[in-house]
Amino acid sequence: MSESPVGQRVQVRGRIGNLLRFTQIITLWTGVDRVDCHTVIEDFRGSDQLLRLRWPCPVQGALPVSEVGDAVVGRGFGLTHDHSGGSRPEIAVDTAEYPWTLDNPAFGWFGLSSTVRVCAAGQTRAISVVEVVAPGPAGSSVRELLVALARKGVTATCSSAAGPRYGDLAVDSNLPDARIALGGPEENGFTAELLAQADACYAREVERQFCETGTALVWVPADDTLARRWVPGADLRGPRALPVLVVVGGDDAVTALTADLADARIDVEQQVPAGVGPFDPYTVALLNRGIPGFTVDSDGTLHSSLLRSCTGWPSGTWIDPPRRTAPDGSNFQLQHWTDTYDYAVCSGPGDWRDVGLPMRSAEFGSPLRAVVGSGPAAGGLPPWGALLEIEPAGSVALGALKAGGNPLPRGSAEPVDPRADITLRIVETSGSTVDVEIQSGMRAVTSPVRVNLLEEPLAQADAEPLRLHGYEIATVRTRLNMPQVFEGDHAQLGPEAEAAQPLYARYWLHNRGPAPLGGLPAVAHLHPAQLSAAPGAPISLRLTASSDAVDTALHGRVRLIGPPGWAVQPGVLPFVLPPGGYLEAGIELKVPPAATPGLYPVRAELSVTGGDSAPMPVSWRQSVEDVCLISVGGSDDVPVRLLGEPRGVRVRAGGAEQLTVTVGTEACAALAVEAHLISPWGTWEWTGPRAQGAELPARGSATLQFSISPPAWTAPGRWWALVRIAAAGHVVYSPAVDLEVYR
Amino acid sequence: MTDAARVDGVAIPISEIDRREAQLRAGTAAVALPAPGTGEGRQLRRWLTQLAVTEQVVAAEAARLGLTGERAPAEDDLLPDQTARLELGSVAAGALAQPVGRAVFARVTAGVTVSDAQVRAYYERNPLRFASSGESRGWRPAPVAPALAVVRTAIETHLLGVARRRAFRSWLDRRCAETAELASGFEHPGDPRQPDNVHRH
Repeated sequence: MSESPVGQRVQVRGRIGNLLRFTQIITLWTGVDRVDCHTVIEDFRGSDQLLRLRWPCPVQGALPVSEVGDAVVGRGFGLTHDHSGGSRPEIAVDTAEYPWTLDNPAFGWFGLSSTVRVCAAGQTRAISVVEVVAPGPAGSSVRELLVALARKGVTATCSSAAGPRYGDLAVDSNLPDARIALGGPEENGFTAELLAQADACYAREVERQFCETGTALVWVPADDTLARRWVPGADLRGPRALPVLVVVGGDDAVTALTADLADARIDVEQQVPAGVGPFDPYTVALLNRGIPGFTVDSDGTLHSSLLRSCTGWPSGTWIDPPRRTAPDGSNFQLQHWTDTYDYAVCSGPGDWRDVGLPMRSAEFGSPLRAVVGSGPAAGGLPPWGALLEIEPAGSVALGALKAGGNPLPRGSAEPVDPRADITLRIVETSGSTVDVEIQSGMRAVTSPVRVNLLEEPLAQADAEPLRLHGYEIATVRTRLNMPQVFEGDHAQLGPEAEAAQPLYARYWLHNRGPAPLGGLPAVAHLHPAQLSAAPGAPISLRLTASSDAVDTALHGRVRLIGPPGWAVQPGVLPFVLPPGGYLEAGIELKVPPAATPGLYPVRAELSVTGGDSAPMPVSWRQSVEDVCLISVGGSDDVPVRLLGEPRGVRVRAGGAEQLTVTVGTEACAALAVEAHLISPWGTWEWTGPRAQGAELPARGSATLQFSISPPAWTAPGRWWALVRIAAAGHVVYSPAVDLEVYR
Repeated sequence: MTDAARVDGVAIPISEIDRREAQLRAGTAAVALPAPGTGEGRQLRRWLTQLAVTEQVVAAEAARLGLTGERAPAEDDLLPDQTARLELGSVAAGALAQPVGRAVFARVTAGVTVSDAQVRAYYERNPLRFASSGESRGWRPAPVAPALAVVRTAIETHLLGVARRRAFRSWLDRRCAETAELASGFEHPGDPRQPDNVHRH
């Protein structure tokens, strides 16, 4: 336990048998209304075990609610423990027996709350996942009802009375917690079946209301509690398995119910018991930072899934030998290293809207980044203020802010200039319709224009306010008419080129994931990419060059580089490629009669020297090459080999060490090699460079160094690192070695 | 139950699936295989059952038609490239590894033809598919669409290959449905009724 003017902190260390050691740090910051938590797992040895973190926070009558990508939705309880009264509810169910635990992903937070409440006969019941049973084909009023339910966060599914019921885990991926039956017993067979099985007072109540008003709204309780019904392997298709809201009176009654949902509360005035348990209008939630998996048990325990430790295929599968593993020999999916997790718990009276969960979770997920200014304040900026304000702040979030336009991804040379315009993505997060205002404390923001995802304007009346409906994601373009406060025109905000040069034309063969950065819209390929030949043999290759540029012709050249002593004709091919253009050339070479058996690379390197619209993006100045590998005399030499494996690194926090690999080539001419350092999350800030390039001389080698320099405040831990090396479409992985930080 | 499947009364014993699995696990691809006893491991055995069933269906048909592998077309003629293999699927492509499978393929698809209209329509949709830019050194002129007469044979061969593979696949599916009985645990890997097919909505 420690204390300081900024807050209080509890630190707990412990272990779970031989499975793992943990450190739990719980922090209360002065003036911050949430509990910040940090969990570190060390020496984890599990396999096929799901490590969950439990926060027992029972709230009577509350149901699971979670944020998904662009909405907040009601969820069902997880089926991880049997709370139906059987023995040992503390032992988790075996997923081999009950595979459907209803674990779900949450975007920023999950918790116990209510999306919509039904208030009947003085009692309150939250509803989360609902099956709407229509008497026949659903009309537009039913559609409106489902949309209104979804806007309030109820996961709603529509079915017809004669069709199969929702709620069988053998076929459904989710379970409902209530039903809404549209139509009386004469119209809706499901209502008839329900009222026949329930206490007769409910049928009489429907009759009474209908005779008096022409409509009826009756909450018919289930034959058992949700916790006892909702168990592993549950089948909830029976008419009495769940409570049912019976809505009688045709489209008008459905429309009235839809309108009543505006306040997330359905009022039911009935003279029969609602059979609902106690309800606390309270919300408790767990805000996550990158640990989305969750379930909430019916006993009110919030579970966050930390580690999966999976051996199921394809976890641990390594296709090309030698198989690589974590340093202890375990597969990488077992995560046998130091794992850290950040999350927070917050709560408050009312539902998730009242507690302001979307904003509080966004604040937790994207912490304010403080930067110490260098040099004197310029331009007379005030000591504090907002450069950009979006109102209403509680229910509209800024998803992205960027310079207007997207030229690079579509192959355009158009320059971008944030002074000309900016693009914002704004997101409604509370499920309500709002009028949005965008302001700046410094200067006017011109009225925003709605655009589509390609940032092209959408039809809009000039005077129209910027209005978003519930959970709407809108993209708008506007202009910040800002005074210039300092000279930053030529500051480079990010890298303009890959670390390893030249780029490799068939980059996907290097297992590197995304295409090289910079959007270079031209490439050259040699066909075939590999072949066998005898000494003295003539060889014809086909070279293609193509451009994806859309608004400029590209001028440049392709340089062909053969092994020393080989004649390659032609050696240089200058080109002008019109937008979308394609060129093909014949390349002739001859294996020297005296060539010894071996692997001979021929490289074709394309460089763009200019376009007809100046200036060209800087990133288009990168060269890209393709390589044809010619095996002479039946050689099975390889273009890239690991000559010196890396060694484990043990480093003091605040110190620096090197991780070194030596790579070599058996090729009889120089080759470009690219190397990527791969290590788990938590190490990226202090290991690097993440990528580097080198030129391997003919039958030569190169030593590549990576720096391991954890800053002094790095917590001790044990991770791993390996190096992926690739050249000419061939990939080699080094073994993974220990990275250990101590104090 | 000791049989994984029966094809027209002929048993495929479980030991045969064991044998095939052991052979795979002894090979170089073993590290890429799912662990035995897991859901994915059982799916692998279902896939091996499909291979065995398909081979038996093909063998039965060959016996019925009196075909041997003699003068069967070469594998490269029926499956000229990786695209053709993917088109046919791994199970049916596996049946063509043996000459007798290819002899059945030839017989079953002997009546497949491609019409003039199909050739013309393909040519119109893909005018440059079989075009050539010549053989000269250095940049070559942009390819020009050849006349239909020049590429007719190439298009016909291409379309006929595709049509025959489709016909063989449909024939095989039909025959398997008619003649094969699969034991519990050896169902088709994609059968949604078996427990290891975990595709849910």
